[in-house]
This record gives sequence, structure tokens and C-alpha cells, in this order.
Amino acid sequence: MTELKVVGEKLPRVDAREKVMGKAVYVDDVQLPGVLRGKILHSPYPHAGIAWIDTSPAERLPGVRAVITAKDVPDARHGACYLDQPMLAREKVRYVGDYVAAVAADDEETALEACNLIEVEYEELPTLFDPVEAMASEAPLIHEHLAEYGLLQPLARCVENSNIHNHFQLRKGDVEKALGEADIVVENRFSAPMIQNGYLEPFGVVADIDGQGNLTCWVSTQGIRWMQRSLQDLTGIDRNKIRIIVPYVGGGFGGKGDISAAAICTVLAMKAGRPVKIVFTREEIFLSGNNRVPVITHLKDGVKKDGSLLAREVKVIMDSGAYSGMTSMIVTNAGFGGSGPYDIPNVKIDSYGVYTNNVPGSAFRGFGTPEIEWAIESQMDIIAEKLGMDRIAIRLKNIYRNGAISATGEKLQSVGLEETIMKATQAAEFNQPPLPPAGGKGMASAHKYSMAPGAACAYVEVKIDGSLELRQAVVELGQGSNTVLAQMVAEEFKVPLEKITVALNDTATTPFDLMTGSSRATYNMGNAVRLACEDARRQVRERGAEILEADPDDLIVENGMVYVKGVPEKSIPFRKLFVHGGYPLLIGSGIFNQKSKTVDLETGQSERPCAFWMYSTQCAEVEVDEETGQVRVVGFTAAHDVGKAINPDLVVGQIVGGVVQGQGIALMEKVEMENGRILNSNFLDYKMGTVHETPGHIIPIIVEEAHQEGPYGAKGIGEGVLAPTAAALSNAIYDAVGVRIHDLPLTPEKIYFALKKR
Amino acid sequence: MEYARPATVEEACSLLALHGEGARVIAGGVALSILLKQRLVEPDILVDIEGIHSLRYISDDANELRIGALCKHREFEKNPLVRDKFPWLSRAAERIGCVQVRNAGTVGGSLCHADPASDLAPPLIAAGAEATLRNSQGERKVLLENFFIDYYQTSLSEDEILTEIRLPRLSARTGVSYEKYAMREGDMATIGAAALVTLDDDKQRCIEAGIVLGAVGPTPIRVKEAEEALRGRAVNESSLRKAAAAAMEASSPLSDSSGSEQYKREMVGVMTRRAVSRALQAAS
Repeated sequence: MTELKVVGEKLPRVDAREKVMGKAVYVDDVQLPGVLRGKILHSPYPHAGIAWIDTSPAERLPGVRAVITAKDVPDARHGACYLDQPMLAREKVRYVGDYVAAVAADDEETALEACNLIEVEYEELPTLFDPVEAMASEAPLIHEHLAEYGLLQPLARCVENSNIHNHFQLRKGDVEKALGEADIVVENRFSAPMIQNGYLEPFGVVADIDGQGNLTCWVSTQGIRWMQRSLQDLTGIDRNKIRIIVPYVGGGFGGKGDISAAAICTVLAMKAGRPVKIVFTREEIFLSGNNRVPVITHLKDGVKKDGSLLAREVKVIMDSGAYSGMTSMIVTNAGFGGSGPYDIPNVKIDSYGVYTNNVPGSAFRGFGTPEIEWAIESQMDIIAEKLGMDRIAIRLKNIYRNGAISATGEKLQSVGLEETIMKATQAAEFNQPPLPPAGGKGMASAHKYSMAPGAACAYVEVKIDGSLELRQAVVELGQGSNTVLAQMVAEEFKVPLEKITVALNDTATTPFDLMTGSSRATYNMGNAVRLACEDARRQVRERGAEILEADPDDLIVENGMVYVKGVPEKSIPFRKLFVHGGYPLLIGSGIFNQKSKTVDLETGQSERPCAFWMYSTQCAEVEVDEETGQVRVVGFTAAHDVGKAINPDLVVGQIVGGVVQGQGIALMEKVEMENGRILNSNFLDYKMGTVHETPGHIIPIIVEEAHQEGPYGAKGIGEGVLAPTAAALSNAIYDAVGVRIHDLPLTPEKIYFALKKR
Repeated sequence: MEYARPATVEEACSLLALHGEGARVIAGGVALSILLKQRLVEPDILVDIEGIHSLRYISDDANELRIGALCKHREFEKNPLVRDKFPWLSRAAERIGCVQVRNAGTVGGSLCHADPASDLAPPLIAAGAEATLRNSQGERKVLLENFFIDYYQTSLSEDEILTEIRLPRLSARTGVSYEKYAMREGDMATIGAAALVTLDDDKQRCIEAGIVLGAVGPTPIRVKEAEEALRGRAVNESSLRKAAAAAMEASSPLSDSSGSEQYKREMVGVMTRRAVSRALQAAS
């Protein structure tokens, strides 16, 4: 490979200046003349039939321009996997917060008042709030027609006449036999609660319909094409008449993009004949069902005296609440890696997605993996202690290394796990004693897949002034994708980063990308960008060859110039390519389509179930106040195998941000629900870590175990950071005071009472 | 909803007298804006007293510290006079919310909001602070201990505003401390415990004690039994334990997302012990 000039450099973010200046545009900044404000009426019941709705009192309120219920919209549903969610509840409501009706009015106050005037007669139905109860065969059905719903993902399998919308199973070897042969069998149950994604910018959407019936929708979402497709299904507008524009998004963590609300906004705009804007309050974000799905994990491990894992049996239950959202996909995808980053000859995994009448849970940074890794890495320490083994040693004994065959039968490449263990434990001085009197150290390792299949596309336009414009659809939601992708274009054309602009995300101009999620942008879009650059460079060389009268293959493209190899003094600027012969347009395009190998539905076996794996090890050091149970995080060391850091500063940003977020999740975050009603739907009562709880120091370590198919060897980082954090902290607390908590979050109260029982 | 911004106390009081229970006073708005947003209060008129600059001061004379009701928490926290002569009070103010909250919220507003989780009320009550209340007719003084009546209720009449807090200069060999338990730094107190200890000339015995709890009842709670456990005795493990037990007994915490009733009661004991121990250190 030639020497890299821009890739691998710690360059400032391309969006830093406008964000710091407050000039960056978000959905709520979009101002259209005559825009109305939309508000949604939510269900007060967790499960109830809708007998009738009377909207006339709301319609009579001055300033109200449109009121809609299910009867005003097509009988259609949306979903990431099962098409199970209507934009407005039809026969019944399934959770406290379900969308029942909506109003567009001259201002938000009027819209809210009108919502309160809508009369709805409900008939209460039996409720289910416990996913284990909901799985029972006699449980009342929350979706009576589950088996008839449209299915977008071939890997999901529901259990007919039940509340189980997906049951994924993985079988490798003979777990029963191996458990019988093991020296010890260790069985434990762990849980991770529902949490809120907690992004800063509330979800927002503006819908405008022009005189030709074309819809333009400005929306904060991570799934542009999914949004476009769903809007077609829900509103009946042809897809070619739906234009989605996504300006900057203020964080998403997997939960940005309320499809029902976008469709409601559109229908309100159609009915009112004026543009409509909906921006959620924080309370509405909690109710919108884009919280992290709660997960229960049962583990049963058979281990030999020398610490080698013989068998692992995993049962995972995910309570998706009223609609399956992304949970069906989480059940499958998290299932692929559900036995942890370990080479275990016998594995049995059963993971379930279950409907209840709770507020829906869906995707969150990590897509199921951090919740399962929390269980596995707690379990690894429990096993080590039972065997009297060192915590590093038991992991080194079992981890995946290059060439290992994974639980699904994939031959693994780019496995930097051992290096993360060695570097993290060394930097954390893991073997040095912790601070007295109640200090402790803990570690955890993890892996995280990035989904496949999935396509990413890019255009790179060469401009007459020698600059380049990248048109692609990864959403810049703070992770730094615009910078990383621009660095790749700069690298490919050997120009400074300042020469690259990244276009606004707009389905009218930016090509297809599956979605901004699964830590897939750098790898998938990176590959598409490189292909687009290669295509553009080919065109540059072909045009240059005409002018220079040379073979295109002998031409070098760099710094906005083309020249024959070895003759840089006879170079010509890009401008000449456009002027000569009258070619005013030069666009390269790239399509990268990461394929996967068929997954056997009975055994979960696949030689390539996902695009790549990220590996990590984190070490936490804590101090526990034994009188109160409060935990102070003294330090954190986080080593992450990213394949290749395109911009090391941004990778460090992801690591540090993830550790801070993960620490809050581990120690305090939980959506409190009582009979399906959320009790803490605001940032006063819902506790997230703040700057005060940030660890005393964080040491980020980048490990680069190149991936053969990644751009410059790169994989990803975003979600991998959270995977080991909770277990590392819990293991440190155990090391400090001998208390093991099985249910997140690790609150002072749980620790305090466990200490009393010690 | 109407909005008025009087420039003088007199003007504010006459607006309050005119509108009666339909009026709400707003100062920094830290607490009230949340209630307004949640529609828990829907006043006819907001009387914004932040423009009454005469209520924004901190001064002292030989006998007492005087704090204008519109003093911002941050000013109060940073004031050299407070830091020098009442460092415990400055430290209590530091525990209120975050810097942004402390730059917006006022001392008087916080007290009049009468959230039992107030960080200022317990140490001020323990130290014998007094509130000055004014209406169009004149002013009256009330011990801060008697100012709080119930959750979010004070002894202020509809037409009165709180204008000043007066804190008597503490006698020699007196220490005060405020301890706070919250899941996060910057949260409202889950438990607040303030202690005042005055030692005798030989620093052997406690001759005066004040124990006040925050956030574990409808108002800040002065725990006389805990004070009795300390007063007239040497402060040692036994009296500390008795004081803590009395405080736990006097508290009536509620279970919520910050903790169960049982856990909170245990923490009342821990925080009381810590407060008394630190007050003792400061007195010695």
C-alpha cells in the first residue's frame, strides 16, 4: 500500500466550527412559511379496545387545522422486521403512550389543547408486563394476527399463537453431553433494564406537500431509506414522490427516527394543506418506543479445571413491549455472538423477542450485545473465582484468535482481542493492588458484530476548481462520519481535507445507504467511497490521457493535477479536463454490497453471518463507599480493535464518550415502569451520568488488527465501546467489596443491602 | 397568563394583593418553570421580581449575616464574606444543582418554593436563620424553622414576599456541616442532613446542638431528640449512634427512583453521623 497522507491523521472534524458556532442546522431549525404544529394524543391505557373516538370538540377549537385518527389513514403497518405497528392505533391500543389521534394547529399550545379535547372510549383488556409470563402458552395475545403480518427479515421466526415474535436458535456441538463431562457447571441469571437512548436533540419532523403532490420531509432519523419506504407504505404516496432530507442529527444511539410520527406529520400536512412540524418533548421521546429493549440472560456453562470452556448454554429474553420494532432483528443478530468472544466447542443459544404491554423497547448502541456481554463477562469472573484462576488467564485461555471457528461456523479474521487484553491490563496496571480500603479492579472483554447483508453507495463529483464533493447518506449524528469519509476522499485524490465537501443528506441527490447503524459506516460506506473515488479517478485519467496523449494507466492523480508518471512538471489542473472537449460533469460512483452467507434457521450456522467483528477489553477501577454503597469510578482503560483508525482523535472520542455513557448505564440508568406507565420520563428523574460522574481518568487504546476487506483495513468502533463496560464495573465492585449484583443498574442501594448480607 | 415585572417591593406586593391566589412570584424560575411546563401550576399572572435590584445583596454587621432574597446561589457560594465567615454555608450552596442552575436560581426563590429537598434550608435552620416577609402593610420576621408548613407550602401570605434571610453570628467553638446524599452530584438531595455543634470551653462537651434533615418529610425536619442525644454530653460513638437513630426515627422518606424508603432511612443515619462528626471537627 502506498503511504497514507490523510487517512490515519488526527484532523479536526469538518463540522466542528459550525457546531461550536451554533450554526449547524437541525430539523427544528427548518422554518417554512405557514407551518403548523402537530401534536399526538397518547393512550392512557396499556391494553384496551377503542370503542369510539369523537374528534369534533377538537375540530371546533379555533386555530385547529386538521385532526386525524386511524380512519383517516390507510390500513397499513410498519416495522423493521414484522410489519406490526400502525401509525395510529386502529382497533386497540397496546401500551401507555400508543398513538391514538393527532392534531395540527396554528401553534403548539392549541394543538395540545385540542388533543385534550378529543374524546376516546376505551374498553380495557387483560395486560401483560412480565415477558416471562407473556411467553406462556395461555397468555392473552397482544398481536392476534402476528403470523399474518408482513415480514421484512427472513431470519425472524415467530411462534404461532403466542407473544413470541422471534425465536433464534444456535446449535454447535452437544451441549448436554459436554455439561456432563465438565468439572464444574456454573449457572446464573442476569438482567439489563430498559433505558432511554438519551440523545440531546429531540426527534423532529417537518412535512410539506407541494402542488404536484410531492412530499418533502425534513426528519431526524438514522434510517433514511427505511423512513422513505415506510412513509410510502403508511401514507400511500409513491416512493418517487417522497423526498427525505436529513440535516445534522443531534445523537441517535439507535433510537432516532419515529416512523409513525413522520407519517402522522405527513397525513396532517395532506389534510391541512399546509406544512406541519412535530418536535417531541423529552416526555414524548420516552413514550415513542425507541428505548433500549430490556434483556434477561440465563447462562449455564460447563468448564474444565484448567479453565477451558467446554459448553455454554444461553437463553435470552428480550421484552420488546407492544411492538417488535428492531427487537426481532436484535434477537437474531445478538444471538450470533451470544456466547461471547470465546472459542467454545459446544454452544446452545435460544433468544426470544416477546411482546408485552410495556412501552416498546428497540435498538440502542450495541443492539443487544452489551446486555448479553454484561452477563457473560460477569460469569467469566465467577468461573475464574470458582476455579481459583486469574481473571486475565481464564480469558486468554478461551478467547477467539485469528483463524478460530466461531459459534456460527465462521472462520474469523482480524481478531485483535488478545492485544486488547494485553494492552488494557498493562496500561491499567491491572495486577497492582487497588486502593485501600475499598478499592477494586475489574476487567471485561467483548466482541460486537456489524450487520450484513447491506449496501452502501456513494457519488464523488470532481469539480472544475479541483475540489471534490462527496454525496452519500450516512447520517452525521455526532459520530464523525462526515470527517472520516471526507478523509478517505482526500486520501484517494491526494488532496488536503479542506478540498472536500460532504453534501447534505437528501434522497433527491444522495444515493442509497442501508442505514446509519450497526457501526457500519466506516467499513461499508468507506468501501463505497473508495470505489466511487476509483471510478472518478479513472475518468480523470481517461480525460487526462486525451490531453496529455498518454496511456491512462501511466497517469498519476494528486493535488488536483494529472501528470504522466515521472513527469510532474508537465501536469495539468483538473480545470483542463472540463474545458477540453467540453465535458462539464465528472462523477464517480461506487456501490459496496456486503453479502452474508445463508443462516441455517435450525442451527444458526453461517460461514459469514455479519460483516466484521470488533473486539475490546476494558478495565475499571472503583472505590466503594461501604457506608452508602456509592461507587466512585477512579479510572477506566479501554482498548478497542478498530482494524484501522481513519481518524484516531475521532476513535478516541468514541471510546471516551462510550465509556462515560456506559458508566452511567451501568450505575444508574433505568426506565422505571409501573403497570406499563413510565414514572421517570424526564431528565430530572431519569438519571444519566453527568460530567461529575466521569471517571477520574480514562485511557483510550487503539488496536489495529487490519480487516482484509475493510477500507485501509478499517472496521468500526461506535457500538463496540459499550459492550464490556457494565461488566468491567461490576467486576471491579466485586473485587472491591465482594458483592456481586446480577441486575443492572448497579445502584448504591443494591450494593448497600448486598454488603449488609455479606 | 399575564406577566408583570415590578421594579420595587411595594409594587410587587400590591400586584400580589390585587391578584390574590391567581398570582405566582417568579425569580430565577429554576423550580417554577418546571411546574409551569408540567402544568402543575397555572397562574393568571406571573410577578417577576428579578428586576427588584434592592433585594440582591450580601452584607454583615457585628451580629448577623444578611442575605437579600434575590441573591443568586452562585453569588452566595462565591461571596468572600460567606466563604470566610460561614464556609459551611458556601459549601452547602456548592451542592445545589450545577453552575447553570446556581447562576439562575435565587436563595429566596429556593426557600419559597419549599421543596423539602432544598440544600439551603437544613443548615440555615440548624444555625437559627430568620426570614423577613413583607407585604404592603409592613414586614414581619419568622424563624426559618417555622417558615415551612408542608410540601411546597410556606407561611407566606398571598400578598407577601420573602425579602431577606438573617443569620446570627455563631458563638465560639461552633461548627456546622451539611451532608447530602444523592445518586448524582448536582441532583436534588435524596437525603440532606445538617448539624450544628457548640462545644464548651474545654471542648469536651457539646453545649448546643442542632440537627435538621432535608428531603425526608414534607418539610425540613428539626430532630430535637437527636439534639438531646448530643447536648450536655461528650460527643462519642454512643451519642453519635443515638443521634443517628433519632434522626432515622424522625424521618419519613418515600420510595422513589432514588431509593426505597428503607434504604433512605438507613442513609439518614449515615448522613446524620457524618454531619455531626464534621460539625464537631469544625468546632474543635
